[in-house]
Amino acid sequence: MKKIWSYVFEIFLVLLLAFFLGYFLYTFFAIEI
Amino acid sequence: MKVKSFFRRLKLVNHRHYIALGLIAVSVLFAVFKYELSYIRLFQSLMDLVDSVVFYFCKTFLGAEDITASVVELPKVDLSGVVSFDIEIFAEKFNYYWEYFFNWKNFSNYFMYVFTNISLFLSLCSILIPIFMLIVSLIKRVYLSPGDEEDKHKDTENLEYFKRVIEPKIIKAFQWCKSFVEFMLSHRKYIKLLILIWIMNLNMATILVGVVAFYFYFISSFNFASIPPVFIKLALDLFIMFAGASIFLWLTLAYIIVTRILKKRAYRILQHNEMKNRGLINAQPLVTLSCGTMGSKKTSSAVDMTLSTSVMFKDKALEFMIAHDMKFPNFPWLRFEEDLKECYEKHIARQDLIAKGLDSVIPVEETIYNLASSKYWVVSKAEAWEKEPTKENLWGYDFERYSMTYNDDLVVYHLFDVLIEYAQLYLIYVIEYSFIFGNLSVREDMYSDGGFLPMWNTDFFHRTPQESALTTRFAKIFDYDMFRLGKKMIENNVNSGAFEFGVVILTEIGKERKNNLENRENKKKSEETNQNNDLFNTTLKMIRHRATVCYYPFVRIITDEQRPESWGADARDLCSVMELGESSDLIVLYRGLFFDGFVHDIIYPKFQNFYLEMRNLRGDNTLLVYLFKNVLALLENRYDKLKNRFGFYQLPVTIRDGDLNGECKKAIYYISRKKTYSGRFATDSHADFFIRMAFKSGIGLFDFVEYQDVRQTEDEMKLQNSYFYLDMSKWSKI
Repeated sequence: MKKIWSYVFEIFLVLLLAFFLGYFLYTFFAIEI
Repeated sequence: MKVKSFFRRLKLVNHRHYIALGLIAVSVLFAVFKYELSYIRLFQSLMDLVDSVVFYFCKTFLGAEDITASVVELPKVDLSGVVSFDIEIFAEKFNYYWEYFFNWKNFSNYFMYVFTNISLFLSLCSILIPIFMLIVSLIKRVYLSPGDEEDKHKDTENLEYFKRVIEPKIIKAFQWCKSFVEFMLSHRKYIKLLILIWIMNLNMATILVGVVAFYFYFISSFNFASIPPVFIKLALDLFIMFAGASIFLWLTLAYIIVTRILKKRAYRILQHNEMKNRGLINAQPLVTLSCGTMGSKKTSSAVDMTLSTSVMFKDKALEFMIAHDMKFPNFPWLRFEEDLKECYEKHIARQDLIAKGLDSVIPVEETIYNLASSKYWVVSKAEAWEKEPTKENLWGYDFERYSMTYNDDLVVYHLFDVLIEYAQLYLIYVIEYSFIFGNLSVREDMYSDGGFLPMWNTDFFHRTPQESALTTRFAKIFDYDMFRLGKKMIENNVNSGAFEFGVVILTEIGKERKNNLENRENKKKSEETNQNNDLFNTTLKMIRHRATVCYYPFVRIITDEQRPESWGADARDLCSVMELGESSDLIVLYRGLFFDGFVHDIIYPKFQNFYLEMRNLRGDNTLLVYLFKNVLALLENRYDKLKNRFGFYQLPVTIRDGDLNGECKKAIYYISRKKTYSGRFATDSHADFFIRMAFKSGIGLFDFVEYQDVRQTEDEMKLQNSYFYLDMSKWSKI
């Protein structure tokens, strides 16, 4: 059985991944030509 | 009239057909009004494919030099529906991408953007969390108050309304959805058409065609400079694809794909563990003894080994059969097999007639019922052929054209030598009865597909309990007289001498055979059958002689006992002793994604506490608890199923020789819940005896005498019927 903190950590990891993936997309739209 | 009969016929059609056709029509409407760009791109991609194929042929077969293909050029499309800039700017952006990506200002802008959105979310949480906590405390206050005696068994008004009005509608809707899914699954053409339309709608088809077009271009040009523009094109198509549907659809798709990958991985690991177990079993001698304390999974491991061995025998028999087939590649094996099958059927028919007390008209020589009769049947066929050497007497084999012998550079085999072994192997392979013999019952569920050469489905992990139940076969009762060469329990027992091959599982073997010390009282010359005069151990020592086909013994004896010393050394010395260590906790290879585990580990225990307290305080039924309990029960059941399907235990084993001396080898045995605990055996297999005794006693916990104080009186001691007390009373007399 996993403790609640391991779930909090899992959520944190997913958010971190989403943060960096989001940066890829954000950069593309941020480029001004 | 014709119109009326047409509509009458339409009414007879299952209405789900109309719904499926409606879904297809809606999908086509989407294609026309929403996904126009995807179809423009698909058309361009198909043109690219044609161009690339032409390029491939011109370049490869005609050697053309100054030609190019459209697949490496940027397409001309209007992107206004997807992004706010046109295709040239889209491509240009890639030139500056990494410059911007590693730019600190860009990153800080992104950080601010995220922070602004998060702060919005956090301020929302700051309102929602106190409201949630307030609701929880209110629920606790309302529900965890002592109920009245007169409300016992009663549903609250809300619950009654829900059960009467809303629940039937939910159930009906759910059943309809379920039946619709079943309908769609049984009419796969609708599903295929829908998938095809949506693959095109969401631009996936364009990407697939584009990949093939680029493949044709690249293998004939090897132009590495064409890769970056193609990537830009791919990025464009991916943009169109992801912009085509909501993020929830993509997350659902991602969920389905990820769970499929994880499940496949879990099945692969279970299968790998099974193979490791089989390696461990094969490394042991023919007799093994699992030892461990009560509850150490010794019967589980013995049953697991039994099931694996049974499957291994089938595989091994097939392996030898194929090898024999190759020795005489032109022999009509199928005809030979059909004759063998006919002989098995004749045996069953003959036994039926005998059971009915009728004199059998089927001669025993024409029947096959074991390895020995297989051999004699082929020998009789060999004699017939020698008397009259015709093709018909050899199942149509053209012995004048093809060889009757096979030389493997060790021995020259005659065809009939190989046929004897093939007949025996075929019996082992094809027989649909379990060849597990046990002093406890074991359930097997492997099944053959009934092909010309039947193939066995020996998968332990994928099948549902319902499917498995359809092919259930139970182990044969092990009659100890089968192994007694000396005195037998029943004189002229028909089973004695009948055992030839199979897997024998004997639990609590020490209690049956006992050790040398316990057998001291049993005399060899005794009139009664006992462990010293039944020559059971002699059978064990010579067991492989009766079970060997192709130099491979199709027999294994798997036993268990708490202590190895409980079984006499004469027999135990033949074994390898597997001493079981402490089993690991359940390891679940796939427990769903985040949500399933979270419900089981966090929400379920919290609800359980609340629920127990409520059960203690109240006797009525409330809507909230009813809903929560039903939803949670569904989710918990889902988790339970995952745990049982993908869970396994690691069992450390120490393997020693039966004389309990010599080197110890350490290994791990894997026990899969799905394989070993899906109704395979009863851990209380000897319970029937004790249940009868307890029932006959007529008393229970209500009736046993209690101590009157913490210090027992002499009368109370007397009630223990203890040796110790008898000794004490003797001493007190001194």
